[in-house]
Amino acid sequence: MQPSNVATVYKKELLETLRDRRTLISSILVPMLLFPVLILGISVLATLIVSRARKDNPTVMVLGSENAPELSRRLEKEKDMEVVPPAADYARRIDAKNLRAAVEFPAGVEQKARTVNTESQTVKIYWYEGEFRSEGVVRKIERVIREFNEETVKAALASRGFGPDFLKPFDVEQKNVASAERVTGNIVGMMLPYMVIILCLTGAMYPAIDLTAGEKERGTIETILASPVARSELVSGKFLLVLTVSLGTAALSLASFAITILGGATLLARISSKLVLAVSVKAMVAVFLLILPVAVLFAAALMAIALIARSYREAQTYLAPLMFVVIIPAVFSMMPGIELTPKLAMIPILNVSLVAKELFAGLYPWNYILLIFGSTAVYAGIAIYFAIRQFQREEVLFRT
Amino acid sequence: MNWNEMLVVFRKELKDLLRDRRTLFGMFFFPLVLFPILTVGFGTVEKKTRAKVEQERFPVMLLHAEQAPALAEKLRASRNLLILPEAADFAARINEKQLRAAVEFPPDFEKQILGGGRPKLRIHYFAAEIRSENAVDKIEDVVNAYRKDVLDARMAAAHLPAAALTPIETKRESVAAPEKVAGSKLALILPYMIILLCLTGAMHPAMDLTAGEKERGTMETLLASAVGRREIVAGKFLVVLCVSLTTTVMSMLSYLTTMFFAKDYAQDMFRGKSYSLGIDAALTILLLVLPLAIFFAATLLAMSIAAKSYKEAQQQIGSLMIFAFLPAIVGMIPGIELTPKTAVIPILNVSLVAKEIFTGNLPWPMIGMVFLATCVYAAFALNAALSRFQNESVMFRG
Repeated sequence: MQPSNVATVYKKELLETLRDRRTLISSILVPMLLFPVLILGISVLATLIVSRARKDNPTVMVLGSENAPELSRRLEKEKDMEVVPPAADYARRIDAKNLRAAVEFPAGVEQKARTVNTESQTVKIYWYEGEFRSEGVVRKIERVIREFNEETVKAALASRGFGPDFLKPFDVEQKNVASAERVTGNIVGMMLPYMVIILCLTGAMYPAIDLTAGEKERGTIETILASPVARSELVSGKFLLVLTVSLGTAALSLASFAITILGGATLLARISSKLVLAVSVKAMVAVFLLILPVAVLFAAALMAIALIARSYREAQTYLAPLMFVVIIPAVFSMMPGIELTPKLAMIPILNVSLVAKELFAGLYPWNYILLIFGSTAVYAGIAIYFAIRQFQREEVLFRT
Repeated sequence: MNWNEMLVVFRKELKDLLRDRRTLFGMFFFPLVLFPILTVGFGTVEKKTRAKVEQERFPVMLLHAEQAPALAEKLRASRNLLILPEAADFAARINEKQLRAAVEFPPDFEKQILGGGRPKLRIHYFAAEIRSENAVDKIEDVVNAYRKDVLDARMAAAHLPAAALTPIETKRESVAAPEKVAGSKLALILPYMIILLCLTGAMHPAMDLTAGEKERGTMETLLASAVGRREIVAGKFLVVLCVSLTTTVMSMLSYLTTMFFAKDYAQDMFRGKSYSLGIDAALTILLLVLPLAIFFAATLLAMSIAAKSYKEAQQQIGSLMIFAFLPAIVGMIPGIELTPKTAVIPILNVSLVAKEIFTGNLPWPMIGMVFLATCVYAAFALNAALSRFQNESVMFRG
């Protein structure tokens, strides 16, 4: 194998790829725009929903308000909900989502509550289990009743000479000991590795097809095979180009992400005012290094498969299901409960997204990192071997 | 419009498409395989993670436990907490996720409580880390139980009944039919899949019958034939619609059979709730999908006719796919519901109505409104497709 020949093939393919609008869009424009658009979109949507939810007030029915005049008055006064006149068909209305909740005060409940009793009074709240707005309004009703309880108890205790601390034997304070960098990393680590892996695949997809099946379709594969370049040099040149595009996509998306986070901190603050944003550059570099064997695996596997196809379109048919094979483990890694184990560290793609989660959270589990890098490198090696074998089989190259 | 001519075009295009492996794959194989795989996959994962969360013991450290013997005893007895020996590097260990949380007691914690003081307990944790937050929840459960004990003792000492602490108790009672109660958010993805498959199903034939035809150089031949322009458009449109609807029907069938045969997995995924459909609900969804499929088919045809090649059509339509996915994603946000306003937003309205139908509601006035609105959009799209086919500058763009 002559490096200069590989370089010639590489340069030729690079020129061709850069002239293709499609590659430019999928490997440069999409990764650069995806994160700003996504983050901007989510924050705009979040503000929109919050303001909308404020605008149309959920309705609540108070049954037996004469049994609890003070509580009913407080419910009426409660902001962001509307008390409607009582009716017998409250259950049906809740079911139809016209009414969000109904609270039922039994006879004499408030009067009994004001005197010291050996038993608590029970108030029923009818709601739509699991429904977003019903849940919200039920919480409000519960809060109003809880506040009423506290005041009543406090008054009863005060009349017996006990101070307000009687009900609060101690306080509990929650203190976050993780740095802002780790907290942000934990949140972005859920989504980011997955996005980068997907972009790594989609970025490699078009050049991989274009350089194999596309070449067949255009009828230029015979010409290039007849040139004084060895088969292995040809594969290497093409492979290196697909790898370059794939890695370029991954690098650009990581860079765009970092810029979005740093630049769009004000927008994100709208979603969660508590969130202090910080991104660790070290983690980004480490993730990129782990993506390296994944990109090799993708590039080789895509080329090996696309080469079987006779045309660009046929290649796409074969590769579309591959997207699912890649997306599914990546989605699993986003589930909160899943953490790295030696077994999971052997599953390609899933292992990288899991370890990337740890890296963003500021942890460097070196034995896992090495295991994952090693296992992915082995998979990538197998894929390269197959790609080279495919290129040496004439019945694949000239399939009709 | 000459119906016989249109039928000839229709038959020719259909035969063309049915000979293409890609159409068959997208129309039959993909929807049939997708739903069982998703249900079994997500169901298994849900079940496993839930079982794991229930059994999990979080490593937790107590700092100065000797200051609060009673509470420390309770924390040690908790099934979900694994108390590690005290160490000075607790914060570093929480950062490294070896320790999920640490409870720090101030000096004389218990003595102060008994003496009527108000000491402060501190829980150190890792914000936004799910297991650390779970561990804090478990600790707070124990702490709240301890607080209740202290209060009960105080009430007894003051000769007051314990119930006087809560004069009014609240009890939630769900009045929604049990099958309507929403299960896992994950489950809501499945109804949207049907709408999205309706779109992706139409995509390949729409591009193949327009840009693909141009690429193969057969468009001129077809236009020069004795068939009128309208008949060609109608024939092509009907083929695209057919494929799109077949994909939808296949995916609904696949969904229903999956819900029927993989009941156990579906229940794990939906947290015990069933999202299967009655015949009336299934037919209603099909009825709503009909104008949507017309809208998709016509829009895709109108767009891809301007492309010079299949590849170019894909490039243009691919970037527009996000606009189809976006309303579906918005529809999954919990607060968004069907209102007269949202009922006129294309795609979003159908996904919202589908959400209602899948959770057991059949809101007829809204269904009618969504149907009408989608029909109007479909008519616009059809008209646009027709006028673009009659425009030679679009058809034979440089």
